[in-house]
Amino acid sequence: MQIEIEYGTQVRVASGVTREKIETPEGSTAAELLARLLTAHDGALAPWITADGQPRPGLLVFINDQSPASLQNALLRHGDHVALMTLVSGG
Amino acid sequence: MANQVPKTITPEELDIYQWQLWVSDFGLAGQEKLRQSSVLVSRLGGLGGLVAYQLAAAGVGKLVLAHAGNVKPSDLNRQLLMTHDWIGKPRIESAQRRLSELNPRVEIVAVNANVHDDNAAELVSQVDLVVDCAPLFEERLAMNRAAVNARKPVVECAMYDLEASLTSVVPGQTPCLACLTPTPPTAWRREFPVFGAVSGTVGCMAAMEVIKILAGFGEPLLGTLLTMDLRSMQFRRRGISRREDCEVCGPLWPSVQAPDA
Repeated sequence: MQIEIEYGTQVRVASGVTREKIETPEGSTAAELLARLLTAHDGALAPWITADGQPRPGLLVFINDQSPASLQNALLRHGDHVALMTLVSGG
Repeated sequence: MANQVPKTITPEELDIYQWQLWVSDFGLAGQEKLRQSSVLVSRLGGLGGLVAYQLAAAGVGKLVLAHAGNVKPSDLNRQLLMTHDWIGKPRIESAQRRLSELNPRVEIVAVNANVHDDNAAELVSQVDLVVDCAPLFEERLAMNRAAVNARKPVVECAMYDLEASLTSVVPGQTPCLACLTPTPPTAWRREFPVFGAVSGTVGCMAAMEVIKILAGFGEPLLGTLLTMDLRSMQFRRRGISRREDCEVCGPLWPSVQAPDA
């Protein structure tokens, strides 16, 4: 199935892309998707994603513009829009 | 029938605030609420300076402003309360001077310090609402904790590059900052790319959130993170969820009772 990924703030800069489409197996969870993205971007997202697809502090994940309670339990569906961005601040 | 003019609104103020008094669901009642309200703005940089400027212009009664340090040349692309002639002098003095010139009716409490664990509760106790514009998450989380403990609303605004975000926290009704990150993000850097036009945009929007919450009209961003990308001019509203084990705001939420066996 195909998932549309949107990157914002620091992860946009680290990944070098704003949007991309990723193929994932049917029944993938959001955590599995994050682990796949970590590999797809050669570890550039390692400051925000652990090897098992868990977000590090400061990473925000939205599925269809809603933050899931748990990435491990969040099953993805074909055509879902997943946004990754980091919390930022002022200055 | 004409509205009764509250005794505390003077004819001079009616003139000054005339254009916003024409906002139908704000009016004199809203202006009186603003006049009687107090707001803490944490840091007066690109974001906080614009928040404070708009709140002073709108007639908020009292601003408590917290910002340490002296004006640097690298502040001046976005920190519009700071001026070239004040380089090397305290930021808080430049901010106080500029705000007093704009609206001398506003009471300004200038604090030459940043928010931290030891002063957050005392600063928050002086106001009705807090605006978080600080660059360090240690400051932001300290103020979040103090505001949630005091049941005071917080407007959270932030920026990076050509992107920005905004949400409003009402303790016990919405997620708080610690729900989004219980600890400071290790990959965050205190200095980052940004234009003054980006900080100005989200700073003005944050001020509008404050005015809506204080005056009780419109629809604040409760449980919603507004993200904006000014490179593509895309704005999105995204739902944010509270963390059930949040150590800061968790105790304010009613616990879910297990059904009887």
